[in-house]
Amino acid sequence: MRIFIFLFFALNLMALSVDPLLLRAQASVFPKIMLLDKNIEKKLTDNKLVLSIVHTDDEHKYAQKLKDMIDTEYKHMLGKLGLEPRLVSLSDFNTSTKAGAYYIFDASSTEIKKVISHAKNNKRICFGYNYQDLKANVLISLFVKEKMYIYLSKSALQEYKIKFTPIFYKIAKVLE
Amino acid sequence: MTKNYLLLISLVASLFAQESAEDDLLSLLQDDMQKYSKIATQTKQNVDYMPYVVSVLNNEELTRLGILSLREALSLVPGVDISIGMAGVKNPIFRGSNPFAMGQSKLIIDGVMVNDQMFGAYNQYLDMPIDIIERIEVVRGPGSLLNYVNAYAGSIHVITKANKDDGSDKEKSLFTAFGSDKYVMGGFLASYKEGGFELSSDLFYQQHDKSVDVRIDRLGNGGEAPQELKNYALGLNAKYQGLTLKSRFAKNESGISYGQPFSLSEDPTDYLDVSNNFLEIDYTFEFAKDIKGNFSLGYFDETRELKDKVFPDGFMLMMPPPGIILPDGRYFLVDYKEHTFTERFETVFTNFKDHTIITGIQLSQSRVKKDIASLSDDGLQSFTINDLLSTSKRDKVSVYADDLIEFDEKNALQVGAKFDHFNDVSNQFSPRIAYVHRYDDDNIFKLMYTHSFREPSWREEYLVGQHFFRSSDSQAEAVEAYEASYILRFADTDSIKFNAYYLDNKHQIHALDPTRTFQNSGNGHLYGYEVELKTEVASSDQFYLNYSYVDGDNVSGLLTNTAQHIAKSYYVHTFNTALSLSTLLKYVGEKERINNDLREVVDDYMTLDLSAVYEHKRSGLTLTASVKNLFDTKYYLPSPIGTYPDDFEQEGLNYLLRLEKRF
Repeated sequence: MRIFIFLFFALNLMALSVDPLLLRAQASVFPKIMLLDKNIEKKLTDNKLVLSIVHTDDEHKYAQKLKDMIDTEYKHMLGKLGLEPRLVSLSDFNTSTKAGAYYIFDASSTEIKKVISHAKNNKRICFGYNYQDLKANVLISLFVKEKMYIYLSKSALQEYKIKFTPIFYKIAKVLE
Repeated sequence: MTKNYLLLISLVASLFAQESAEDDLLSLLQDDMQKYSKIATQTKQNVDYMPYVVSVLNNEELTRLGILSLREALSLVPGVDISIGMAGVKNPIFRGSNPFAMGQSKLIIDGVMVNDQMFGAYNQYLDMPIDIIERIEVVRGPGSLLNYVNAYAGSIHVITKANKDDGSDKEKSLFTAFGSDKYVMGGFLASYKEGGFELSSDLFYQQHDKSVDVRIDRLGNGGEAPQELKNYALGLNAKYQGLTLKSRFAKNESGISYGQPFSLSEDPTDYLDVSNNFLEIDYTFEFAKDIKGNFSLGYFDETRELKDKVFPDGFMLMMPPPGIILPDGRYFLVDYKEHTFTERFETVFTNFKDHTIITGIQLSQSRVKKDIASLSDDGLQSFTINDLLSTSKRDKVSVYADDLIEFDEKNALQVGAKFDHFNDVSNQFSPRIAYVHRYDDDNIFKLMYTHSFREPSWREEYLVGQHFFRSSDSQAEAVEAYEASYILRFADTDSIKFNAYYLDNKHQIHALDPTRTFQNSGNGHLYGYEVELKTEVASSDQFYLNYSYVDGDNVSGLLTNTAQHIAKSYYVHTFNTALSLSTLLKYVGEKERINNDLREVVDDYMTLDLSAVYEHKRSGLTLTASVKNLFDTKYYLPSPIGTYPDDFEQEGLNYLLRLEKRF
């Protein structure tokens, strides 16, 4: 019995459960939302839309899955613009990491806050896997209720100072 | 997809120049949101926010718990228990509703209902390994997720991996398992896709050599109840544009277990073999924008073959004429086959704002193709042949309509009704109304009322006396169900669910009277509640607990063969992305007997299972090792009065090892 108890409370390694359907929806929707940033043309890197998927070691497989889904759906092109989802390990992330937008899986760790803060300071969208992370200043997420919603944090929007084209507000649900 | 892609190209080309392109982008985003909302509804991912109470068990969750079969998976659902009937057949019981009848719950596999007409049973499918199952949706209570299925106490919808409906690629895998009692299982999942054509298949074979020691049966004999099993099935599906073909061919060969008349057989070669085949062809098309039609043709057949030495050598008959001695005992043999054709036409309207309206008509024709019951009193040298059933047909017409009205983000109402006309049972009208109030994202309230019925099975209505008898004027069982539900979500994956119900059951059918005659035996009232808690205790620890309570009466004014308290719980600890360990604890409370059964109550019991799962991502290998009933708890399921006085002992400590290779 002691062995079982030991096994249960042995040193944890982070485990994240990711909903494959939500990930697929995000892979499809988030790149399109990047286009609704009124200043997106100033946020291109080599004429490409770059979405940095910032991940921990344990999130790597999901980050890779998200990248693969985006690549499969868009085939590296969003219309005539290039689209490049880039995997960035959280430990390698620094303020010189350039991107048109950022994506994170979990905002609960202290270290990930530097990504949110960097996105905010550079007026880049920070997408979150989990809608609950809107409370942690993530700007946009998806949420499945009776149907799927795009959630946009009103308080974060004021801090990020990103201007979206008016049509975005027709489809997004702005959370106080 | 191509249309959207072209739209995307054109819009980005003009994005910086023309404002009209924004409308195109809005349209693309709306299409995406609609597409994924539809998949979420189809896969029951949004179930907390919808007007029904359903438990969804996913393959991933079941694998982590070391669950082997559909039957084991169902034992996780709140309020679900198992009862044992003739020939050791195990049948899920929902909320204590008439534990002496089969057919109160319905099993649907990939949209095809597989309950037979003879018993209303589907137990031969319950050994289906979870390796071929994508998802199990269990509705407690009479509400069904499919309008053409009238569930009574519950409905179980199995979506196989070969019929995965979330739009993602289908799996290809090989799987095998080994366990106690010489259990061996193996099978594969395969799929092929070329352009618009898709072919998918699953196949499995499993066998074990289980038997249970029995101290004494109803004739005073002891011995072994042989429960060996050989079970195999092939699922074959094809899809081309709007055309879909679904089929499953299955055979279940088993030992005679506790015997057809609840006595042990002297002959170890006795058997109960059940074959089932179904095939359904669907064609889906669009009448107009947002109006879809679906035309479906189905075929289902079942063959039952039974050989059972029902009386031992030298047995003296007490039935009239009394005093006759059978020197070679008596064999009872059944050779039975039924089939059912169904034709269904369904229309889904989404063109009215905030409404999803489904209307349909289904016709079915069930016939007996073989109907032979034989007796042999000379060691299978000669036979007395009789019909098993007194009639051989049932025709049914069902008409239904259902409207899901989404008033706004917070409120939705579902109103539905079904009318069923039979050639041999009185007409039935089954209305349903359900309301959901989403107070906010995390607090959801539901209220539901459903009327439903269960038509008598052929055994109950037409059996020509062979150990059991029938009453010729049985009415359908009927239930009025009132349910209230509250869901509190307190994190992305964490929630508490509370569900209270009151069931007013009428005309319950069973054969518990001394003459063993199936007949309507009065009304019953059941009420209770179910609570479920699911939470991530830490980033790598998941805890789940459900508790169900039921009270009232189901048979003769008592709550019989039903545990008032049932609790099920699991804890999963994930060490890293490869290794997880889980414990699964089940508690089933004591069970009262029927009022003229003087035996002590059936004791409560608790079992603990332990499983470890190792997943090697790179190679696609998953290895599961499980120890079930870790403390070797002796526990029993109740036997009917006058049969096995010691009840039915269940499996003690046992082991399971599974290996899966995904491609």
